[in-house]
Amino acid sequence: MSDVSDVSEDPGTVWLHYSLPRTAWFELEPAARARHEEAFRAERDASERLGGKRAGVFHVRGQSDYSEVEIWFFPTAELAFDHWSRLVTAGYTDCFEFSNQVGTADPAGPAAPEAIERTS
Amino acid sequence: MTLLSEETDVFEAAPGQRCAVLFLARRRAPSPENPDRAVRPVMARLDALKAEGWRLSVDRVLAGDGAEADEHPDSPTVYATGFSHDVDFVGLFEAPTPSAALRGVTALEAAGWARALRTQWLIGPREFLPVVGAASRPEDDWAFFALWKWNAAWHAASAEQRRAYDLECDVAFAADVRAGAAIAGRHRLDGASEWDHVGVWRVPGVAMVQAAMREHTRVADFKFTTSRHYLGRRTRLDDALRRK
Repeated sequence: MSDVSDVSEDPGTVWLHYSLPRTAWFELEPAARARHEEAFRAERDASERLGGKRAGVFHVRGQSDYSEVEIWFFPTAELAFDHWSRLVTAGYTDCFEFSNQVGTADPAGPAAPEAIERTS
Repeated sequence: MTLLSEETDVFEAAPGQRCAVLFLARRRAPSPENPDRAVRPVMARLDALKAEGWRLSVDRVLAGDGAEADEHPDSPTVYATGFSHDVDFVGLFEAPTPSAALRGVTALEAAGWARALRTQWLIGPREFLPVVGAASRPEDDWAFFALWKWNAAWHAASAEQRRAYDLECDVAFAADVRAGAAIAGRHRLDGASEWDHVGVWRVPGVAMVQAAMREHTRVADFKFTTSRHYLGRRTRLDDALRRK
C-alpha cells in the first residue's frame, strides 16, 4: 500500500482514465464477464475506502479514440497509481485498452472539489 | 506498486517509490525572443529539485542508489533527437516520489521551461533496478528510449506463454548489456499515459542499437508489444534551452 505521509503538502490529484473494451471483453461469456466486473468493482470500492472519490463515468466515443472517461479524485498521486496497479493486477488491462492522466489541482483555480477536502 | 511482469536474470525489482519523469519536448516555434531568459530560472529550479533528491541525467539514474552513487556528477541533461524524430529533445529525470514528480514538473514549467519547450511529460514508478555491465562506458553519449505497451496477443496469452516470452527477451537484453548498453532498469508509465513502460539505455551509438533491434526482432520481442523508440545524443540542458 502506498505511503500517504505527504498528503498535507498535496493540493489534491485528479486521475482521468480513458478506456476502450478489447475484443476479448466482447467475447467473454456472461458469467466470466460478471466475475471480472465484480473483481474490478472490489478494487474501486477499496480505493474509495482509501480516500479516492469516483466522480463519474462519461461516454466520449463520438470524439475520442476511447469509449469512456472515468474521473477520480485522490488525496495523492501515489494513491491514484496504487488504484490503477490493483486494477491491472485484477486483470483489468486484459479487458480494456487505456490511456490515463494524472494532475494536481491548480492552487489559483476554483476551490478543490468536496471529495478532496473530505479526504485530505 | 506491484510488478507488471516478473523479475528475470537481467532485471531485479527496485525498492522504494522513485518515479520516472520522462520528457518528449519540441522547441517552441517561433522561438522566444530571448531564449536565455528561461535558462537561469530553470537551472535554479533544477538545483532545488536536486537538493530534494531528484536525479537529472540518465547517467545519474544509471549510477543507482547508495552513498557512492550520491557522489556521482549530475548535470541536467537532455538528448537531441530532432535529427530523426518528431521531437527535438528527450530526457529522463527521476523524482523521489510520484507526488514530487508532479509538483516538480509544474514548478519547472512555471520557471520558464514552458516558454522554451512544448513538452509531453510522462511519469511513473521505478520497477526494475539499473543494469550496468562491464562493457558499458560512461563516456558513451547516445541514449535509446523505448516506450512500449503489450498488445492484444500478450493480453490474451497464458501466464506460461508470457513467462516464456520474458525469458526469450532476456536473452536479447543480456546480449545488449554485453554489447555495451547500460539499462536504466524499467519504469511503469501505465498509471498516467497510454504506455505500459519505458526503458532507457546509454549506448555507444546508433550501430549498436540497430544490431540490438535485429536481435530483439530475432527473439520475437515485438510479437507481444507495440513500441516507440527515440535515439538521441547527449546535450547539456542549458545549451538545449539556449539554441535558437
